[in-house]
Amino acid sequence: MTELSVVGKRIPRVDAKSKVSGRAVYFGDTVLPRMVYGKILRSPYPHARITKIDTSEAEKLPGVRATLTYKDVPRVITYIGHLHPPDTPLDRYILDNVVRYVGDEVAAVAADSPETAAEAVERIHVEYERLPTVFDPEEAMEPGAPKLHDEGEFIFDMDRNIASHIKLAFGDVEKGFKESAVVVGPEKFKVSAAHTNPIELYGCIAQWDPLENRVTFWAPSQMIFRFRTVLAHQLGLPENKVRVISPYVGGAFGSRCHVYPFHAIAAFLSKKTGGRPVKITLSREETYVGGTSNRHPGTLTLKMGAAKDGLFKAFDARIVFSAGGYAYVSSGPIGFCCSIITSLYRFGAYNVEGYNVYTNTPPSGAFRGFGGPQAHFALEQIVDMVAEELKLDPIELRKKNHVRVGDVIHWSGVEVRTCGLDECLDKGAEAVGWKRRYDSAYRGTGVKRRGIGVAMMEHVSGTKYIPGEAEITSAIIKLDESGKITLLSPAHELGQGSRTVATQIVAEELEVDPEDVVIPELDTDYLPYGLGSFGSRYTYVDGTLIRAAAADTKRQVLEWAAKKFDTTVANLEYKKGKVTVKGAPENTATLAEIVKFAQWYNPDDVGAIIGKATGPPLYNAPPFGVQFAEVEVDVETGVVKVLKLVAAHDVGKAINPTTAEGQLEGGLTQGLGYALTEGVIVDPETGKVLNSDLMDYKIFTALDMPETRVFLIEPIDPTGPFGVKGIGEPALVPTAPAIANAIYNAIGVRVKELPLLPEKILKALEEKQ
Amino acid sequence: MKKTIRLTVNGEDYTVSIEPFDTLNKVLREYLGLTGTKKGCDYGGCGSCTVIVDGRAVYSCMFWAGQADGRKITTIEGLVKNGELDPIQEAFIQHGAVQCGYCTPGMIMSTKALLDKKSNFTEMEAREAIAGNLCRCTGYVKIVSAMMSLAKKSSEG
Ligand code: FES
Ligand code: FES
Repeated sequence: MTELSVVGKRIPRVDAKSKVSGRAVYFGDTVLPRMVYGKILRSPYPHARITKIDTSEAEKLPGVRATLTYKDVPRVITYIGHLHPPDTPLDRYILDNVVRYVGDEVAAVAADSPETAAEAVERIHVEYERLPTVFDPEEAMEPGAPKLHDEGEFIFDMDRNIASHIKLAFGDVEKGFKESAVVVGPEKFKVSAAHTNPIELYGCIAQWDPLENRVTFWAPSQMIFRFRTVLAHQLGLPENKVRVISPYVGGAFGSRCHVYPFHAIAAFLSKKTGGRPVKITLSREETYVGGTSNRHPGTLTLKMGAAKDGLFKAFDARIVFSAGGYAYVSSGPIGFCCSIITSLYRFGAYNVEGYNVYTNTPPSGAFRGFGGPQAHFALEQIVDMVAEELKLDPIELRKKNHVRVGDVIHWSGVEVRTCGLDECLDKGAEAVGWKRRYDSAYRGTGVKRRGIGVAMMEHVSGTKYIPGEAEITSAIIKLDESGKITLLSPAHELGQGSRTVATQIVAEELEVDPEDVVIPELDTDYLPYGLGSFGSRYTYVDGTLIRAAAADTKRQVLEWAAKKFDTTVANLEYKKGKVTVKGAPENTATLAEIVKFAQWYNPDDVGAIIGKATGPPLYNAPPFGVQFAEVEVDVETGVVKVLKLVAAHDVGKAINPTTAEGQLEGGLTQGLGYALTEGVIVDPETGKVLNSDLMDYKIFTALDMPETRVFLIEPIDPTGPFGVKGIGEPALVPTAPAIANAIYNAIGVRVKELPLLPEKILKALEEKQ
Repeated sequence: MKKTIRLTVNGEDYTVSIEPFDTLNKVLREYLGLTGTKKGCDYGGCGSCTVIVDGRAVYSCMFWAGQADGRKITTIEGLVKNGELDPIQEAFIQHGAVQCGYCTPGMIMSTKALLDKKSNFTEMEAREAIAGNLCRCTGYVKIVSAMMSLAKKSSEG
């Protein structure tokens, strides 16, 4: 490969100045003329029918401009999600006369101030008829369990509350287990409802223009075009009557893939006020109770068989997720969980079955990893259990069994072209001091015991070849008379650095200063179509099309330069943003001069230089990663202290090592939280969320963080632009199982339930004795 | 009952008419349009609203507007002087300490309060200074290294 000048460099983020100076404008910072404030009334009951609803007292309050109940909104069956595969269950109305979890939307108010709106919703009189409830997904599938939905489309089995079901099978599993020297399981693992918890609150501004009958949303989003599709459906408008603008986004992690009910509610309120902009901002409490995307909680029951030499002969998994009251992107996370659990290792045979089940709890949705964290939490522990039975080192066992170059991933048909797992294992093992785990003096016998654990992971770079999914994006590059460059790309900047890497790719390809590249705001009205930022896709997918658009731009530049110098393209050389006639350096033109020539020179032959590309990426390269944890467990209190985390990830080429490291470092914190503290707790009696604030829902602070080390392993993937692979989601996936395995190494007990709280550790220790 | 307060924000004097339960956060964001100060909860849970009042870093969402009467307040907007970024802002950029940016103004204000008090500090002191500022994106690694670069600079100079 030729020498790179911008790609691979640690250039400062292009949005950093506006963010450090407080100039970055998020939706919550925006005030529009005549804007009013929306507030949602939420259900106090986990399952109930509304028998009476009266908003008249609310309407009497001065400053109230509109109220909204299920009687005011069109009865359009829809979904809270983002995808559009044919099997996404249509299972809800924007407002309904049945509520299915504590926090479900009941009614809404728009008023002159947030305080008035809050007071007004309290005055809405609602009478409920309580309905039977079920909170556990396994119970919800039992015959006779309360039924959550009796209408809808694409719901797998309404009678058993199963929103989606998936089954994957390969080879003869029974035979595989028979031939195994060691069989572990069935072992049941339990995962928690961690919440994405971006620091920016959820919400949007919506304005329904009554004359144009057109709605504009200012909504932080990971996918403005899919927002437009879903919202158009919900509002009963064609797509060109909906405009979605996504301003700065204060963290997303999957949760801003969803169009939530508040989006359409804001629009309907706006319509009722005659077209005033309506801002809805959920409180931090509503973040937890309002169904803004928990990671699916549930159970994974695994069984694994291995031959004497360690090769994995057979694998069996039954995975049950709790969807909550509505199934956001239902087949997505359960489907991905069941798929990815089959493809990190070369199983001789497997059988995997998954269910996404309705329960009367806040809905689960997309959260960084999309089923991967659950899959690997269970998988990477049972691999360690097999290693112990076989008396093999966990790293050796992984090396024997993991997928390698040339293997084809069954569920996607993708061939592995590069795989950095061995290098990740070796680098990480050295950095953490792996061998110490076998030293009993290191582990200790006192109150505090130490241990070291490892876990691996596999993921995707985008959605190409994922069954039922599409993958597409576009890029347009415009040159202007100053020679500066505008890139029109659906570069949803969530903090991960998409705009910076897009800038670097353009600057690299056109050999210009990154400062000369401008990327305008996200707006469905003028941007070319693309899916957005999710599924670890942006750099890999959009990077490919941005490169192609740059090549198209360069081609046009050369054609115009050939006209300018009255020569052929073959006789020209493009270098450092300039074109020179070979052998005649005096005939050199800058981009600005070529653009001016193209736009002004010949009345019969003028044109602007606009490069474009649209389509799919080349492939879907699986990224891999390995993490190591070193822990100290207090056997008297059960408290786990993570001393060190080491992350070595195969990221392909890092376009910007600083932002790539940032993804890993941030991912480790979220992985640590998933392992030790995080999970929305629903009271099994009342269905209420018990930890709906930041004091009780514990996120790691700077003081709580252990020492971390990250390694970027960069095998150049032939399918990604400059060799990149996805990195956004992988970062947090193996953290929790690495910690669980380290705990086992330290104290010889395995806690199979997230989060790994002290009381669970103590209970497991007691049971062992 | 409205009440009038006078306060100095980023060196400029303001007279604001407030409601009894207004917070400093509301005064800054809604009355003065200084939206660089964020709001991620409203009960001292996240730290994104951190500003400096008379040299002390406080959660503006927990600070009654009435108490701000007569005080000197610095917000993130006050750090850029004559079109130049503050060294703290520069350090955050150079060290890659910014991702989504929502915690950033609060982080920078907490850093400033620390730095104004102490030109040299340990990593533990840096972590303590931002312990009340949550970041969901960065894992704090690059934020702490940005902070430490400033501590070193001041010890050298
Ligand atoms: S807004 Fe969260 S602490 Fe003030
Ligand atoms: S950078 Fe996103 S919360 Fe800190």
